[in-house]
Amino acid sequence: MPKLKIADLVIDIKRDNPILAGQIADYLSKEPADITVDFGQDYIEREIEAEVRSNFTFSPAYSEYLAIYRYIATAFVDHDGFLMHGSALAFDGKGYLFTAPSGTGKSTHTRLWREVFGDRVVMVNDDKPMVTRRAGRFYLSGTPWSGKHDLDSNITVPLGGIVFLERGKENKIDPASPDRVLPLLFRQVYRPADSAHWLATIDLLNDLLAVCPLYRLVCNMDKEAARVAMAGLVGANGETPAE
Amino acid sequence: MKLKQGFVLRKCGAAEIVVPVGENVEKYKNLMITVSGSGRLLWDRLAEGCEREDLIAALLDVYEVERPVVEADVDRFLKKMKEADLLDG
Repeated sequence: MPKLKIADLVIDIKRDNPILAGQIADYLSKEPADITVDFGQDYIEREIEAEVRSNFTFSPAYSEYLAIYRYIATAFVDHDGFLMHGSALAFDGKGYLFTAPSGTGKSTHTRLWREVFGDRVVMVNDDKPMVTRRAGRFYLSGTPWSGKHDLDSNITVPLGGIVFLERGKENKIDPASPDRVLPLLFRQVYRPADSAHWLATIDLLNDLLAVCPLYRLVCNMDKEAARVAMAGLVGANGETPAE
Repeated sequence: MKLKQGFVLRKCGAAEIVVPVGENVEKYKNLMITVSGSGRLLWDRLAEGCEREDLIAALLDVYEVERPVVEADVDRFLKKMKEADLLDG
């Protein structure tokens, strides 16, 4: 498989995965690799067995596709990064990550942003973006693994906030305290299987909580939800365009 | 009572995350509990081994609150540890 570049890291994947092959056109790189994904058939078979035990019915190719990403996500921790489940977009160049348990409507919400704000919104990754820390600041990066809608861009943008999304009748956004969102946050962050990488991930999250604005968004599925969220996140600078 | 071995606390924001290490990693791979405030003191006492009454006394030493409040705190903490299967005895 050709080398990929995700965030500022070049990844050499020593397996040919048919699903991944169709998604990497925007991520190709010829630079020297920072991360080499090189696992044998044993590893893949264990991973596939684990998927089966978890009651998933993924194909072997799809299980391998996910296993490759888990491997990369673990290696990212060595480079001050981690994978977080959520729908991430860039608005006027700044990144916002909307997160919630599956089925809450993260992708629906970010779709509303695209409908309301058009070109000002670029999808970073609709499902599994990478978060990296560089010189004390946090960034959001697109990756080819972006969920069922396959919405992602090969961009890295400063992280402007993490939004914990809940369904509700009215639209409302408020700052959230780190204490309150901690359990939610931990459920959405990829947890490497070994304790060293998990401890390092917790250290990254500890830094993240100190600098990253956190919000709780209660929203419905009307376009108004995107306007309310944007006003809360971006403030007076983000003027709503006339319709 | 005593906390099982093979767990460490790691600071995250205002709380500390309980992280399984060594042989516990696989068994407790979904463990997600946090310890904060007075919980840290209780955690340290339980790591050495002690009884419920010792925990209550330890909190009463440090915090100026009524005994029933402290008892409720201790019981809540012990329940949490038991449910997470972190206690021996």
